[in-house]
Amino acid sequence: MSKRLTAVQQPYEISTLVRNLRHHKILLLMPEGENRTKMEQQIRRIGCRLHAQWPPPQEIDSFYQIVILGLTAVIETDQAFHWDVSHPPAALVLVVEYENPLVLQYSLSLNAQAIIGLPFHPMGVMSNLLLSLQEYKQTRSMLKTIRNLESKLSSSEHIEQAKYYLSQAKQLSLENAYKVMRQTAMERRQPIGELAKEIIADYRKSQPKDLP
Amino acid sequence: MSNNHPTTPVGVIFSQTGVTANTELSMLRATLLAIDRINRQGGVNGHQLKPICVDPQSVADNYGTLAQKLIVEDGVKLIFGGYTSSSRKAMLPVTGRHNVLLFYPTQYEGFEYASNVIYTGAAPNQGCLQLAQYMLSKIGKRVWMVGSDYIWPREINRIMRDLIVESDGEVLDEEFRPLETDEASIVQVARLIVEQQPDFVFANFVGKSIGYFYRAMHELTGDQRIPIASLTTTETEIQAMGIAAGFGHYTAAPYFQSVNTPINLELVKEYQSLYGKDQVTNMCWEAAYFQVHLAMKAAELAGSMQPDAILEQIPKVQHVAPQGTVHIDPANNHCYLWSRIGRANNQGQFDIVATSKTTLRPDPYLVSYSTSTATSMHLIETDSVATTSQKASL
Repeated sequence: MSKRLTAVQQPYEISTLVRNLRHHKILLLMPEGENRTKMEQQIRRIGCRLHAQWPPPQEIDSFYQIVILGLTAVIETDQAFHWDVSHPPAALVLVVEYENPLVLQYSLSLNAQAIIGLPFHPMGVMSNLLLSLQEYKQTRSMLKTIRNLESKLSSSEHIEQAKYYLSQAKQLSLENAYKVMRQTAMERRQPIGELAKEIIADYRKSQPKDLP
Repeated sequence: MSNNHPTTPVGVIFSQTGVTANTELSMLRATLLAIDRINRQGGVNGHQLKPICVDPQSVADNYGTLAQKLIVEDGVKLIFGGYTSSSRKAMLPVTGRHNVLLFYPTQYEGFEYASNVIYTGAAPNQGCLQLAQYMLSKIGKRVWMVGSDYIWPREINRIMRDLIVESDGEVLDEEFRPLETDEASIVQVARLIVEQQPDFVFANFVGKSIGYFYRAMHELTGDQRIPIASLTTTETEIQAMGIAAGFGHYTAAPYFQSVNTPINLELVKEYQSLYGKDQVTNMCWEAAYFQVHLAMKAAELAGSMQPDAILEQIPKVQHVAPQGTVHIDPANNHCYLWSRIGRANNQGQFDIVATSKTTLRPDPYLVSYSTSTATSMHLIETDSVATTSQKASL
């Protein structure tokens, strides 16, 4: 049965995720009652650290890696729930009692990584915790990569521009202009992109205003 | 005597035929022995227990259909039974739907909780860890792993692999064989192993493959035995494979027939007088026996045979089982159990070479194992006193 599974090499981070599941801290935001009690018991059985509270706090402590939110409870009791979708502080798992267009709309706008349906069933909680963590961590690492690439891209644009200005000002070939810049950046222990920005700024100051 | 008393039916599902019948038959008999003892002492809440036994013939799906039949046609509220994980998984949706309480007496791979199931066999943290610690520190670190191809051996081997790697050991290779395989395919694995001469083999076959494997290893190695460590090879399997094939190999279990407690000595005697002097007992037999007592003590405390009432009371009861005193952890419905390592001797019994100081808390959701966890289990080595009279340090 699992022959096919063993053939697939699992990425290291994912197996680490499973092994380290117990090290994660969970904030459970559900109103007191049978469903919350059962959810708390299952999470404790799994072995994660847990804090349960209601209503949701103004701000989510960065201490937690997963937030489990009773979404239908939030809607029905008209609670405030602040969640920065562009910089989520943790993975978000929603607990819903029913699915209608309003609930689905909220789920999508919160960009939740997993949804658990009520009535409570212990099977599935562990999978959803893991899925949400994986999704959250992968998204975060992708965003980080994108930001790095963006900054690299913009710095390489600056370098090209600075190279050109420097070659003009000092009568150097483009290649030699770059060598000078690299040498200077190394001596100053400064990223070459930063140096490029300075060169561009200096060059612009020295030019008449009507030039680009 | 039961003629004058009202009776309560209870379901008993163990295979009497098919690939796992050997062990399951002993579990069936243990269950009936426990029920008989309880009835002789006046039953539960004035009721005599009426066991209704069905034979799923070692076919997983049959456990589900027969559970349904017991519930719908015979009106049972309690079921004792199941052996393989697939048999349990087949019963779970049925017992869940009807809110019937299931008592499952086999060690399994963990990662399960159902509010209406009581698990009385060992979770991986109550045996696997101790076996790994013992073998890696006493026998060696070059390990071959084999097992039947289904969820339990695969999960157990995953845990074992972690422990081996953590102890700077080496997994030479790993092979799985289908649950119902022929002898030739098992012999082929044994040849591969003997060629590579590991320090020990971690083997978790189930059913007839156990005998095939130990016999093949015995024939291939003779006195130059490569130790086999297992969580499934019990006295029953050794009897079936022949004492010589089992000799010198290791098993971890909460219970061995050789456990030297008064209740065990008495019970084994009664069991053998009922079913024959040649009958042996095993860890599944023992769990099948004591779980009936736990259930009925809870029923008596509740004054009811209803599943919810029994569930509510069961954390409050404990039972002096053949392995020692046991009780249920209400946090996960699993059982606090003893942990022992046994080495098969020349009578087909196990010399107990290590025993836990106390019962171990069940932790069915433990994902990541480390030998540091095992150290905290405090195994007492009883190697030096492993004579027939002083095996266990209870």
